[in-house]
Amino acid sequence: MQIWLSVPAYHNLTPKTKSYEEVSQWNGKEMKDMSRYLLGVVTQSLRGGSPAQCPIFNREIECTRALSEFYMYARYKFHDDATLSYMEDALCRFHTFKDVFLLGRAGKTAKAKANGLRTELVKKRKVDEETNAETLMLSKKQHEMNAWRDYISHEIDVPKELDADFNFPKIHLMSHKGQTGSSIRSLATVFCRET
Amino acid sequence: MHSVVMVALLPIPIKNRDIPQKHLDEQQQTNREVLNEVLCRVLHPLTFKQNPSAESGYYNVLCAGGNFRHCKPVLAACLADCPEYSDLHHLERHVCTRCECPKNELGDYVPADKQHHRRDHNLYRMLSDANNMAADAELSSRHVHRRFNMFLHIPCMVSDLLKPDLLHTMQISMLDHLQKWIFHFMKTHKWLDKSNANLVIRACLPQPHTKN
Repeated sequence: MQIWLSVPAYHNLTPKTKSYEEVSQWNGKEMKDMSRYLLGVVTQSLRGGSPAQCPIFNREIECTRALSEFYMYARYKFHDDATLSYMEDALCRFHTFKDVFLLGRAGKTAKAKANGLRTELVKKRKVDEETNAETLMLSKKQHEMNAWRDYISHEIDVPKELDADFNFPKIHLMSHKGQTGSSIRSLATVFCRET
Repeated sequence: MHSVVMVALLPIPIKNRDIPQKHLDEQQQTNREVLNEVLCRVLHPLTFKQNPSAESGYYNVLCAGGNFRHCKPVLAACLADCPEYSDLHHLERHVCTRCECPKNELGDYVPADKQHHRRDHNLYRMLSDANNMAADAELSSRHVHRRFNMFLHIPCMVSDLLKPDLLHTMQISMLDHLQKWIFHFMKTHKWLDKSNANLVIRACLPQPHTKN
C-alpha cells in the first residue's frame, strides 16, 4: 500500500500516516479528502476494458462523477441560480446512472429484474424489494439530496413587519437577481453543517 | 458575523442494549418526553401567545456595540444530526422530515417541480389536539407520533427550520456507500486483479468484512 501512503500534502490533503488496512473507521475529513481524488482513481482503474465492458464502465464513471459533483456543489457556502442548476443536473445524472451499481449489489432475481427494467428504460430503484432499515436509511439520504436545492432557495415564511424590524445585521450573501433582501433568509441558508 | 450562545445542554439518553423490546420502547418514549420537556422550557418565550399584541414578544437586547435594540427573536434554523430530526419532530424513523414522501418512493429522483407535499405542522397540531381515533389514524398514516411537540406551537414554518446535514447525508453516508458500490462493481466484473492501475483502487476502497 505504498500508493496510499504516498499521497502528498498537496492543497490541504493530509499526508497519510497509516496504511490503508490500519484505518478502522473513516471520518468526515477523510471522506472529504477522498472525494477529491476518487473520480481520478476510478477513471484510471477502469481503463483498458473490453469493448463489451466499456459502456458499463463509462456508466460507472459517470455515476461517480455525478455524485462527486453534487457533493462538491453541496459544500459551497454561497449559491446562485447557476450553481443550483448544476447541482440539480448532477443529481439527475446520478439517478440516471446509478442502476449500474445495483447489479453488483443484488441477487440473481433482482439482477434479472434490473436488466428488464433497463431494457424498458424505466429508471426505478425497485431492484431490491426488501425494505430493510439500511436500505430505507440510504433511500432517505438520496431523497434528502432531492430537497437540497429547495432547502437553499426556499423563502422563509416570516411576517414582513418582523423581517423589517429584525435587528440582525443585514447580510447580503448574494447579489444575483432575486437573492437579496431578507436577512433572515440569508442567515438561515448558511447554517449548513459540515465537519 | 454569527455568534453562538449556549442556552442549555439537551439530555443524552443512555444506550440500552440487551433489554427486552417492550422495555426498550417504553424507555424510548420516556426519552422523547424528557427531550420535549426540556425543549418546552427552553423555547417557551417563542410560543404562540393567547392574546398577542403589537408589542408582545419584543425584548430590549444589549448588543455588542453597547446599545440596546428592540428585538423580537425568531426561530430561524434548527441544527441536529439527521436521525435526531425525527426525534425532535416526533416523526417515525426513516421518513422524510420535510415532506410526506411515501416510504416506497424514498430514493427515487424527484424533479424540482414535482416535489411531494410539505409537512403541514398546523394540521399536525390540530390533529394532535383533537385526541380521537380518527385523528390518531390520520397522524399514524403520516408517520407522526401523537404527542405534544413544542415545535408545533412556535410561529414558524417547522419544515424550514431543518437544514441539510452535509456530514451525515453525504460524507459518511453517500460517499461511504459509493466506495462500497465501486468495490462491489469491480468485484462483480472481476476487475480488481486485472492491471497495475487497480493497485490504486485497492488502496482507496474499503475491503469487505470477512467472517472467520
